[in-house]
Amino acid sequence: MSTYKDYNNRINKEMTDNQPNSARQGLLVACLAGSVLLLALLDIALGSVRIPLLEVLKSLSSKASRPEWTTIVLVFRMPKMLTAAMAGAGLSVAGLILQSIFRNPLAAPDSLGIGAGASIGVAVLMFAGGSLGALGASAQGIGTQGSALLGNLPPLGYTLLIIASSTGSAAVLIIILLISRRFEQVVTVLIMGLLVGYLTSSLVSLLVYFGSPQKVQLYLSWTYGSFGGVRTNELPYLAIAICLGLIITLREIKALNAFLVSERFASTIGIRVRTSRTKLLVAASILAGSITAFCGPIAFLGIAAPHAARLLSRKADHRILLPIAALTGACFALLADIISSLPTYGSLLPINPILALIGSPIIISMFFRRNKSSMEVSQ
Amino acid sequence: MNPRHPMRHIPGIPDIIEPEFKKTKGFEGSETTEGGSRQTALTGRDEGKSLRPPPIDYSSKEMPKTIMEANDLSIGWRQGSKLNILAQDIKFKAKQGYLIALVGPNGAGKSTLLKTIAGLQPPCGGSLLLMGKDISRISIEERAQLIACVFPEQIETGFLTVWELVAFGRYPYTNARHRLTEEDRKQVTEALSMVGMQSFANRTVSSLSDGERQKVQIARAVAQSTALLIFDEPTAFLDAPSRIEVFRLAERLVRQAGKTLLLCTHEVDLALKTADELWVIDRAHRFSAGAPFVIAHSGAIGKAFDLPSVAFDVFSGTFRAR
Repeated sequence: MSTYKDYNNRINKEMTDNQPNSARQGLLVACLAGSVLLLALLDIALGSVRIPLLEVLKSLSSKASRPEWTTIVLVFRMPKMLTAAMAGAGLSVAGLILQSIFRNPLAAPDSLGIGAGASIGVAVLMFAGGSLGALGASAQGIGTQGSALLGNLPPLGYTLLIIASSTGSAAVLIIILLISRRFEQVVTVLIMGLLVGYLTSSLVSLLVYFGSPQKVQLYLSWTYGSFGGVRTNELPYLAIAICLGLIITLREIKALNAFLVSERFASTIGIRVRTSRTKLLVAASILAGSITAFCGPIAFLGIAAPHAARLLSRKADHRILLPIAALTGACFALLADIISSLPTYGSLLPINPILALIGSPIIISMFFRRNKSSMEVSQ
Repeated sequence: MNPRHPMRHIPGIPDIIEPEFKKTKGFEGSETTEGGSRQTALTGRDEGKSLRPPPIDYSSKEMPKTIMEANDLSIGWRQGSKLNILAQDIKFKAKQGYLIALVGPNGAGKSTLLKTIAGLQPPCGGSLLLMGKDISRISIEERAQLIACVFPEQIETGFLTVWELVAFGRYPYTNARHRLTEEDRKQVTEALSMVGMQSFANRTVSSLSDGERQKVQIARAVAQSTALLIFDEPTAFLDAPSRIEVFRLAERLVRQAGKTLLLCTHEVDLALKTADELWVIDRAHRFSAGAPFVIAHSGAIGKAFDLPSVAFDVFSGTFRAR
């Protein structure tokens, strides 16, 4: 009995400051930001040519002791690192949005067919949009991947690429949305998402079947996924798209929290459900679509990084969860990028298998740790 | 504070509700003495303050304010361009400080009526006025400051805390980042202590029992500080003591906090004991409203739930096999 009272008193005392774990959350954000920075530096330093960390910092101001290091850092590794960080953060946030809207832990850009939608956008642009001309000119892009295959497209080309990819993912999202209106159960929606995904990928297969061999090879290399294909002059397009997605999400953060309970609940506490949901889905498709356009379909991050963020922060509140998810996603992507460039014989390993290889064990172990700690609490 | 319905005690008509009511109180009282301070801490039940309605002041000519009014309202849903009308000619006045219970068999249209009143679906015809204003002309944000609803929800979010859930009630008042002011925090704390859940503030919602979750949801609705509360089957999935507790909580909200409460329920006996007004929708989707025991004596409840094998017993206020 007395322990019960003590417990109550303690809880009451904790409750008076109302934001019980804010210090812990702040520390967590700081730690994650620190590891993102560290991983970013390592990502630049490690690769087929190893550059000492100090020299990395120096070469950022073009003062490296060897001029070729400056070139490597600024032309190749810096854009790759920035792409990895942005893609990781963006995909993680997109996954978080979808998981919250559908109230389903399995929802993610790829499991809902949004990745496939982006692929079809890109495929249509590549195969049908032959009149763009620049496609074939980028034969050197084979082997490296990403949007490099769109070679020397004028700025309009990148915009087109993003638009095509985002439109593809938005189209799939709208279909999913219509389905989710019609069917209450989220499991149905997920199954439908998978089916729509199959549908779009079969359309892509048909396009590939009738495409010229060169384009097919370009397209296939895009599907492997890589952070290395984005060049310095293309980075701003990706950055703007991701910022746009994040800004829309941040403006709807209240709605995102309310959707955790249910849409009807959100509506009774003054959220314009349809508008908010549409905006959030548009944000998710911009994020997933633009990243897929530049880096290829990257499957693992969208579903796994939000879970890692939840397990780390132990919060449901998106105002805390969102930055943590973004940072966690960036960490995973950077780590995967470092590992993918570790083999010294020149070529990069494909990013998708690496992400799943390093990510899955980490997250599985997190779940186990959480189980253990919750048992301790209950004892 | 809460002028009672003048129809509640009519001289000459036997009062069949009160003895049952006292019995309930007696049962709860003995439980409290046994449980001691812990029970009080858990439920926040303030002893000494009676929930019995205050004696009627017949000299007062003042009628309670009408919160919501419906005239020839018809409810239903749209299927494409087709209009499916479920019930029509609904007429009621929901007065301030009244506990209104809505009863009726499954499929009669209780939930549809509640959703229409809550503004979640448009009326199919007639007028529905909230504070004298047409409900369809009230914006979603404004509506959330006038009506708070508790619908049965399955909350599957692992890390959502009780405090955070109750703070959702302040959504209509906070800025785009949901920054809580001192006033907001005060309202949340008060709402939590109103339902006796203040010691659960930092627990996660998923660790609570069904009864505790229901109380937290009610606290959230209270934190929304609206004049009208709507509870949709607040006692579903609850055990018998929790059901009685929810009804006592409902009484407290009306008698002490002065809210108007509309609740839809299958607990006809509890509704008869606690409500100031009873609304009945029968199997033929006909709507009737009135003082609980007047409705009970008129046979409307029996007719509403009309089944060959079951009959409503007016004297015990419960259903019996024929």
